[in-house]
Amino acid sequence: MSPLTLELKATVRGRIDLQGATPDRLRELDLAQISAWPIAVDARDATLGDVFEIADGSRERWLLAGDLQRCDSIAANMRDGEIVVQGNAGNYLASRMRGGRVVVQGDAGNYAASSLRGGSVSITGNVGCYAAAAAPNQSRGMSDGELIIGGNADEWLASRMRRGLVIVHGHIAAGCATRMIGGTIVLCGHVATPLGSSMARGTPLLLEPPPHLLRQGMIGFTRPNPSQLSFLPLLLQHIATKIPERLASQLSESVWLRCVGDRAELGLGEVLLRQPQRLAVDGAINAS
Amino acid sequence: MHINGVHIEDTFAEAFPMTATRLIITAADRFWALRAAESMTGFATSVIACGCEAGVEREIAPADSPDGRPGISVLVFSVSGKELEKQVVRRVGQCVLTCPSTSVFAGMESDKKIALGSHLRYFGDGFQISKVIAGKRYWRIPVMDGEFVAEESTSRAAAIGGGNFLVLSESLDGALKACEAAMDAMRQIPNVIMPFPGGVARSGSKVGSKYKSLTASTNDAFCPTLRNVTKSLLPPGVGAALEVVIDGLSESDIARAMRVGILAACEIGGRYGLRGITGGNYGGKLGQFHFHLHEILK
Repeated sequence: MSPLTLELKATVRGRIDLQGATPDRLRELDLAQISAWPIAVDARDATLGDVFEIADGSRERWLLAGDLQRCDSIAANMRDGEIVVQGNAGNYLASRMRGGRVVVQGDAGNYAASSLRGGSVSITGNVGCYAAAAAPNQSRGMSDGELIIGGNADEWLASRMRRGLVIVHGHIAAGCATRMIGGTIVLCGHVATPLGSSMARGTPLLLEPPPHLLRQGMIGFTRPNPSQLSFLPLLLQHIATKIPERLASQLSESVWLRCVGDRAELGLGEVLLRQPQRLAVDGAINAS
Repeated sequence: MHINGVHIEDTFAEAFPMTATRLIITAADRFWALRAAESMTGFATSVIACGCEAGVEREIAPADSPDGRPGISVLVFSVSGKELEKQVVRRVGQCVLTCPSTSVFAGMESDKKIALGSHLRYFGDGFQISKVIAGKRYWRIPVMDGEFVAEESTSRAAAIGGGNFLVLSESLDGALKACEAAMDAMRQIPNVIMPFPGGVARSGSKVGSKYKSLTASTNDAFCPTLRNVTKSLLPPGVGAALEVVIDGLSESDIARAMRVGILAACEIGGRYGLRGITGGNYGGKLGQFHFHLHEILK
């Protein structure tokens, strides 16, 4: 069955807040009721029908089309179902989402997957600040689920992240993993520092760390140390199909260096630095 | 019934309900995985005094193991979920955690969980790390060779213990040959273990004893030295009897293992003086599962 399609009307101006308009909440409604579902435009009352051309389809799967960069809170608090966004999405995409699946075929704004509690979010383009971090008024960032970012991630990625998996294919701006509490972040591109400031726990993996990190390590962390990490094969097996093929094929031939920190705050987080085997330092041990 | 000249007695073997779990132990290579598995399943021949019955089920190729390393599948049987958990945690803690390069994973899925890494993690003294990968939680415990990885919990399922058959031979040598042939064949069967040394018990027991403190005592009816002292069940000419004991995850698994084992024993047995095969029949006092030899061998 084709998805329920919501196409943004060209005449609509202002920022649209889709808070509460999710497949799980509208599952039992007919098309007229869906059209009358309340949302907000520039903080004023509106309905889905005012903003979108709606074509009937499966209640489980939604397709959002148009210039959705102005649409905030897509899939926020969603518990179930699937939303595909054709184009860019606004702020708070999948914020506090509990389950289901979201695919954005474009960029997403700030706070994407912030305080995510379950389900999977996939964004083919770039994301703004605070992706997988704590949503406003929340003490903790992402606490479960999976976020895959095909492009770059702006500042404060995964700050205060508690649990779950984040994968970024592109470059990562400064402030990543700040105050991280747990979970795993796989960073495929260039990573700007500071990284992992005030980390308590958690595991950022740098698949292509800058050479100076391999040589000198990070401020507040133990020196990069070759380590036998028995859990890595499990993790690498899980992420192999979710990272760029170019890197996936190199994983089994890599060695890993481990830094523990942030020791300034007695943290026990670990930053794992991948090193191609040909560059391995003496004594470095293959992950597998 | 006769197979290859060996008489198959028209009787049944009794077995009793148990609960069981499967663990997958992996290591840097087969040698260390096997050492850990052998150590963990040591002193686990009978629930009467060992707390559990355990054994190696099969080897697992790296491609089929959870972490891509050589693995050994181990089955552990006990009388209750609580006792099983106690034995699993104790044995993994002392025999797998201590063995270089090993990791341990759940080998079966069900709603009934028993602790594994969730108890062992405390050995990490606060440095342990939990990781959820593909919906499963693993504990990473720092140890002197790196880290020990244990899945949070394993599952348990209803199972059967004490499936058996007795090999009756003219001599001990002949009985051993028949049992060795049976074991070679039975080790290929999944979902079963033979918990006694080499899979075989010479001290088959009967229910009860003249001593009040004992729940089991020597099966005098099958002791050749007591042939003229007690009511012997040994046919004339039989000089040695050995018992093959089988624990399995289901009745069909045990029946299959018994069939394969008896046929293998009979195949070579005639040459080595194998006279008969019988079952450990305790008049229905031992357990609710009855494996009729003639039905199994049809």
